Amino acid sequence: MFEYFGGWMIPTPKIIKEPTMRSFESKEVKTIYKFILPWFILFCFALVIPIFTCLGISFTSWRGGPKINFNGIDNYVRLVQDAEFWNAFGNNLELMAYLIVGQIGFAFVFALMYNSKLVRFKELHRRLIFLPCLLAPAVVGMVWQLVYRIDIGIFAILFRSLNLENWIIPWLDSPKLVMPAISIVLIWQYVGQYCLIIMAGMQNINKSVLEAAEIDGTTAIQRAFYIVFPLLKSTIFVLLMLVISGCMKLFDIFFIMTNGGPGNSSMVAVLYSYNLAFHSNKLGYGSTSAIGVVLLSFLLIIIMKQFTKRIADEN
Amino acid sequence: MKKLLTVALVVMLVTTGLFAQGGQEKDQGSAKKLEIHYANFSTEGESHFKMVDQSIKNFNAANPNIKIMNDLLPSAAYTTNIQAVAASNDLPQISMLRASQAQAYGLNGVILPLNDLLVESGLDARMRPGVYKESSVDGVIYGIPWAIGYYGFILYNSEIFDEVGIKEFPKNLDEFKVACDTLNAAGYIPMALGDKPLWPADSLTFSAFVNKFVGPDWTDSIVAKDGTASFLDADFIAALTAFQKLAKDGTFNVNLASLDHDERRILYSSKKAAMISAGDWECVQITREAPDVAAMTKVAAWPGPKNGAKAGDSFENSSAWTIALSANNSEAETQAAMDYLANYHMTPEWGKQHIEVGGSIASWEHEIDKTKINPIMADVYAYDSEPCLNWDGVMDIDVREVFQRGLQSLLTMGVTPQQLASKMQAEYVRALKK
Repeated sequence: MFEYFGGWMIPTPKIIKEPTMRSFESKEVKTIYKFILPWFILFCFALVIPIFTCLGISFTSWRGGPKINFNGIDNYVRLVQDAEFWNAFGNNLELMAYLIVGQIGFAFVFALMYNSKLVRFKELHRRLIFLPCLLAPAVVGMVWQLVYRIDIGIFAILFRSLNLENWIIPWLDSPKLVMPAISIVLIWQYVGQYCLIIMAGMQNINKSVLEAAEIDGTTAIQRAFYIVFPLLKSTIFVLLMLVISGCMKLFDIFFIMTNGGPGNSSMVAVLYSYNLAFHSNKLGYGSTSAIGVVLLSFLLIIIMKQFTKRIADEN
Repeated sequence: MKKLLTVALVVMLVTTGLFAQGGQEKDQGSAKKLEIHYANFSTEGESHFKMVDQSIKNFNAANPNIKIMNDLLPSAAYTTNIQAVAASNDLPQISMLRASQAQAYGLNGVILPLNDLLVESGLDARMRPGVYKESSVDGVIYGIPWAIGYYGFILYNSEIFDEVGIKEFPKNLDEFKVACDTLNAAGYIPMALGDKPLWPADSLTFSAFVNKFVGPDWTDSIVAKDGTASFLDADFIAALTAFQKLAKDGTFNVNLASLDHDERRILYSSKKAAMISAGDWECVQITREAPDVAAMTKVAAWPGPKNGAKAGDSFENSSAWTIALSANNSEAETQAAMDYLANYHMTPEWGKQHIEVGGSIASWEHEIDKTKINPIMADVYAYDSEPCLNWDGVMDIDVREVFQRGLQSLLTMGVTPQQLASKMQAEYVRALKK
C-alpha cells in the first residue's frame, strides 16, 4: 500500500502496535496458570474429588464391596442423634480449649522471653523449642506413651525416686485425665511453631512504643499485656484459626496413644469416623460422619471469623 | 543449552522405551505363570510362620506354572489393611479374615461362597463338625476356619499362690475376691489385663466370665437374633456388675486400657502378675519366654457367682480366624487356591504340626501326639470344661464395637453396667432390623 506524503508517493508505514497492559497481563496470567495447573490437578485428585466422593457415599449404607444401597438422608438423621459422634466432637472442643490456652499462651510467654534481654543462648532455645514440630506425630505418640507409663515412664521413675508413689497416675487410663494428658503432648509438640509466628509478629511492633512505655515506668509484664498483646491481635487471630483447624483434623496421635480409649473418653471426631468406616465396616455412615466433621469445622471457623471481626470493628 | 536439553530428552525417552520394552518381554515371559497372593499375619517370629511358608514352597515346587506369594503383615497392621482392601473390593486371591468379617464380606459379595468348593476339593469331609458356625450365614460358608481356639481360661502361677498362702484356686467370685486381696497385699497384680486393642477384655476374659451368669441358651439366643434374649436381662447386667466390681476391687492392673495384650502377658511371665485370662497360643509363648514360670503355671476356669450359676466351668471354643477367597478370582485362580488349601495347607500332617508348634487344634481332623503338645495346653485340653462362645467372633459387628469399647469403659468406671447394657441393646435392636 502507498500513500502521498509531501507530494511523494511512499509506502504506507507498518503500524507497530505497542504492547498494551491488557496483552501483557494475559500473557502473565497464562504463565501463572501454567505453573498452578499441576498443583491444581493434584489438589483436585487429593482433596476435591475425594470430598465429593465421600459426600456421595455418605448417602448410602455401603459396607464395602460391589453392593451399594442409596438410603437418602437416613445417615444424616442418625448422625444428628448419635451421642457417640457428639461426644467425640465434645472432646475436640475440650481439646481446643486446652490448646488455645496452652499452645498460644505458652507460645506468647516464650516469645516474650526470647525477646527479653534476660534470656541467654536465645538461638539455642529457639531451635530446641521448634525441634518437636519436626517429629512425626506417630513418633511423638509412641514416645509419650512411654513417658506416661506407670512402670517405666519418666514421671513414674521420678516420683518413685522422690518417694511420691501416690503421685504416679495412669494418665492414659483415666477417663477424666486422658484429654489433658494428650493436650500436654500437643502443646509440647507445636508450641515452637506458634512461638515463631508470634515472634515474627513482634518484629512489626515499633520499638519506640515499647521504649516510651519503659521510660514511663511500666513493668515488663504491663508492657506485655497492655502493649504487645493488643498489637499482636491480628497474629493471635491467625493462630486461633490454626488451632481450630488443627484440632478438628487430629487423628494420628490419638490413634497411637489411646485408640480413643479408655472407652470413648479420648475419641475425637476424625478417629470416630475412621472407626466407623474401617472397624465397623460402615463406610457409608463413616463418610457421613466425616462430612459432619467438615461441616462443623466450617461452622467453627465462621463463628471464629465473626468473633474476630467484631473485636476488630470494636477497636 | 537448548540443544543439550533436547539431546538429554531424546536419550531419556529412548532409554525409557528400551527399558519398557525389556520389561514387557520379561512380563510376556512370566505371563504364563499364575500369581496368587495369600494375605496373612503369620509373620516371622509367629509360631505358624515356618509352617505356612513351607506349605507355600511345597506348592510352588510342585506347580511350576503357579506362584503363591506370601503377603505378610503383623496382626494389628494386617487387620487395618485387610479392612481397607476389602472395602475397595480388592482383596487378594486368598486372605485370612475374622469369622465375623467373612460373614459381612460374604453378604456384600466381596468373597466367594465356599460350600461347593469345599466338597469338590475334599476338604469338607476332613473338617471337624460345627466349625463353620462363626463363618457362615444361613448355611452359606464364607470362610474356612483355621483352628479351633481355646480362650478365656485362667493361667495362674502356683508358686505365687503358695507363697501368699492360697491353697487352692477359688471356686466362686467371693473366694476369688479374697484371693485377689491377698495377692494385692503381697504386692502382686492379681490378674494382668491389656485391653488397648479392645478385644482382649472381651475375647480373652468376659466371654468366658459371662457364661456362668447367663448360660449357653441365652447366648445362643442373642447370637441367633431370635428376639428372646435381651442385653437388659437381669442376669447379663449382674455379669457386667460383677465384672466391673473385679476392676473396682483391684483385680486388674490400673493401666489396663493403655496396655497391649502382649505387654500384659509379659507381666505374668516376669512374675509381676499372678494370673492372666489367656488364649491357647499364649501357652506356647509363655513356655518360650519364661520356662520357669511355665513350669509353675496351672489352669483354671473363671469362677462364677456363689449361688445360681447357669453353666459349669467354661472355656471359649472359637474358630475366630478363617481363610476366604476373593470374589474377583478367575476360575483358574480359585482352583489353584483350593488345590493349595486342600492338599498343602489344611492337611492332616499340617494340623499335627499346628498343635505341636502353635498350640492350637486345627479345624480339620488330624492326629494328636499328646507327648509333643505344650504341657500347659495339654492341661487346658484335659480340663473338664464346657465350650462357650467367643463373643468377638460371633457377635454382630456393630454390637461388638459398642460392646468392646463399652467393656473398657466399664472397667475404667466410665460407664455403669446399666448404661452399657442399654447401649448394647439399642445397637442390637438396630441390628435386628437390618
